Amino acid sequence: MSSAHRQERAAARLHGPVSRLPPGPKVAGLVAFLVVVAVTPATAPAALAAEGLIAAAVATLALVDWRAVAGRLTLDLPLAVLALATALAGRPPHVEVAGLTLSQPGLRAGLAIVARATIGIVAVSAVAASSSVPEIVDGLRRLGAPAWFRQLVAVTARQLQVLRADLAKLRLAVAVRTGSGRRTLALASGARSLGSLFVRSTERAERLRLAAELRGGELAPAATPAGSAAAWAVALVPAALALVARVGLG
Amino acid sequence: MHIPDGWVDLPTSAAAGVVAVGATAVAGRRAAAALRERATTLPAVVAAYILVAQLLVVPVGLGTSAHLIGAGLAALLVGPSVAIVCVAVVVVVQALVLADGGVTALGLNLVNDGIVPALVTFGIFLALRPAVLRAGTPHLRRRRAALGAGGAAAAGSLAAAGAATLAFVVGGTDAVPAHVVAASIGGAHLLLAAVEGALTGVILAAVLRLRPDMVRVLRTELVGSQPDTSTEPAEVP
Repeated sequence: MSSAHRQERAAARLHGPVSRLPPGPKVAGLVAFLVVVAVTPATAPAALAAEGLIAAAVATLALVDWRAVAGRLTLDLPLAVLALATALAGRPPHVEVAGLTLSQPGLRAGLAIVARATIGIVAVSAVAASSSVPEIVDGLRRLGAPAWFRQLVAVTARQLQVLRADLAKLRLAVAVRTGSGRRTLALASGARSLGSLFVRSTERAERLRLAAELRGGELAPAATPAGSAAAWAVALVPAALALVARVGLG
Repeated sequence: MHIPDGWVDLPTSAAAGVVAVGATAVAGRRAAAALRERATTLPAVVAAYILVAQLLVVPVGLGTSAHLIGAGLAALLVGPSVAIVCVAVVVVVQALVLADGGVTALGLNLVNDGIVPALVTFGIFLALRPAVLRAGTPHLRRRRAALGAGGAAAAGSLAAAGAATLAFVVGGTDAVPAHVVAASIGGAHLLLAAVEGALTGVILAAVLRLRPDMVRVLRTELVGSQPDTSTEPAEVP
């Protein structure tokens, strides 16, 4: 048993109301919600704010780890820079904000970009926190992903844990051999261990393929129960609320 | 950078989605033919490898960091069709499991982070291959291969920046002049391209030293390559 299995168990999920929802409706509901967010224009900040509140409410119901969400929100930083650029260089009319002359449409567009990205991160975190990877893979079926692709995603998610454990071992080995040194040195050796990680994992892929062939079976992901009409109705509630906010406040 | 939800309007996302699904279907068929079986293990392992490689972040100042995108590297290692399939899996896992990159922008991310850099990197390296394989010691060839791969991957990253700019100009907000968008995205990508090139070169050199036969773009051409066991298994009766 590889150490990756232990990691998996350590990250056992909490069971809240959202995790009881079948994966098909859940993933479809997420996509519907995000499509509504994507069509909410920058000129409707109240609607965007309402959609943000909906996402936060669902995330709370899904018992997300808000610290992990905050870590993911650092992905917003480059967008904030882009938003500043659009605000500084946008078209007239201009407004004065804190001594800076900013373009009003540019400012709006920039803020809307950051807002939509943040809503997306919170909404996906809610689904990810309340679903196991096989459930998400099964949810992809609702979006029409072919079987070979879903199978690929399932094996990838499993291999991701194995490779992470492998990389940690390689890094430890490098640190022991060289003494954990300066940052640049660590980067160079990190890149080199990635080279040997590729060799190791490709060799493992070959063994896996051989083993699957000998068993005569496919590495098929497990199926999960299909959603009832009630589950679909519940899963589409956030999207419906967002649509109401978009029409009512936009 | 992965494009988040709501960065461009829905028609542009949908158009990119159609391009992405079509390209992935074609690449999937070509990859299956190249691997002579319904291969799931190699693309899955390479996709997981790309995800892990992206964990190695290079601080670039201002609290932000750059990391490998990996499409170009994967194209050199396993060929562009397998690479595109891998990146498709990577963006799906990132969007749905890791909340990195938008769900409605999946198609756009696949075009930007997968199809464009994979094809550009592979194409440029193919053009450079005669120069890389010119006479010389294996060590010298490895050096040249790493340099060529780095340059090709950097060019692939810049091409991806071009594609992202195009998408934003076509489907993004019209509140900002196009040249400002091009300048800010392009400027940031100069740095990212340098990181992508350096990491690709170092990783490719390491793989060439350990198992030169695993680098598809140079297979059988390098002195000392062993018979291949990685992707083309013996026919199973």
